Amino acid sequence: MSDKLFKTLMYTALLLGVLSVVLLLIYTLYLQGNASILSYIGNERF
Amino acid sequence: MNKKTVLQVISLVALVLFFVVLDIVIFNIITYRYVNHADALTASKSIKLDDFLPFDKSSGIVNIKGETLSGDLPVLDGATALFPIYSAFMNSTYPEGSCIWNGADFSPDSYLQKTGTTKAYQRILDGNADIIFVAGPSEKQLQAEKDAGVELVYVPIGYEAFVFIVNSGNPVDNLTTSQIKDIYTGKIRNWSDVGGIYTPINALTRAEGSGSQTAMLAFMGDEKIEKNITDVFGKSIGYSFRYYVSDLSGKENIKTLALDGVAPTVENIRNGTYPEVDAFYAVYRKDDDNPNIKLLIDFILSQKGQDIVSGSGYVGVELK
Repeated sequence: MSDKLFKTLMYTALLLGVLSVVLLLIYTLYLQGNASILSYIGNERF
Repeated sequence: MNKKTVLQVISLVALVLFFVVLDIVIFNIITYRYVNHADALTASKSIKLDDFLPFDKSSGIVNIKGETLSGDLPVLDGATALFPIYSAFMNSTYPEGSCIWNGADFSPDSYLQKTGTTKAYQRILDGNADIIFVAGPSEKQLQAEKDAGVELVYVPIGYEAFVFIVNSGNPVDNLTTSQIKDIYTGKIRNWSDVGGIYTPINALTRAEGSGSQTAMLAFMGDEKIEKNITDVFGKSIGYSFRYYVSDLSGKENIKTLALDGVAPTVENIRNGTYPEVDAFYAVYRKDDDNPNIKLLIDFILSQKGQDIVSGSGYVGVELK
């Protein structure tokens, strides 16, 4: 694998990884706005 | 494949795996808790309003017929937890067609609305609702009433237990009043200190102005609620009203705690042994001269009206 290809793949993976975390956090904030206290407690795992 | 290429592939796979694991951890610790497993309507309305609409033979409301009002019909609004009651009052005393439900919400022309406690208080001050069915007002709501130059009349129409709730897997079944105050002031921060497992206590609160938050502030008295952000990773305690938790919301995996050793049952509300019982009110503007308001209040306080309150699962004023 050439260094250029490796760098491109690493940056792409990094970008997609960060993007996935950001999207997950945005989704979480969206859910937080709609969640009720009951579903929040009911969803806990013991 | 040379050694350098192998290292490059390993680095790439490790980076991808890192983010996959990070996403899974975030989802399991934080996101999953907010996922509401009920359908979209239930999630947005907290209860299935469709099940408690007036003039519907399959409705879950108490069906007792009173004298039908005519003329200028008051617009009814109020708390989610009390919806089955004021929906039943409309069913008893309003002509059919007074409630216009479009399958997701009430039409602006409907005489029945359900905007929740905070908005309902605002709507009666703005003149957009005529009678609201709510828990007692918060300090802020009393101030808003004063600022608007409006005098509201609060008529107690029933009683309900203010309850503390945890996940049904939580081994704790009972807390004392002082333990709960210590939890919400941050003096007790681990479930193991009150007979539970060793994990932080995530003490949840509600939005200011909601009926249960007003009740909680009254419960706490002079003690100030303190929150610690790291406790969000622990197991939660919250609060609500008994009937909303036990019958209306349809939420699973929730249990109510006994308070000072007394379970929040209808019997214990009636016999006065459950320590946290709050009145709920029909509220109208003193300057509203619509004669139907008095007629409706009289009906609510009559035997039929109180049968609706008790038949809906609450405790009527004459029964306490």
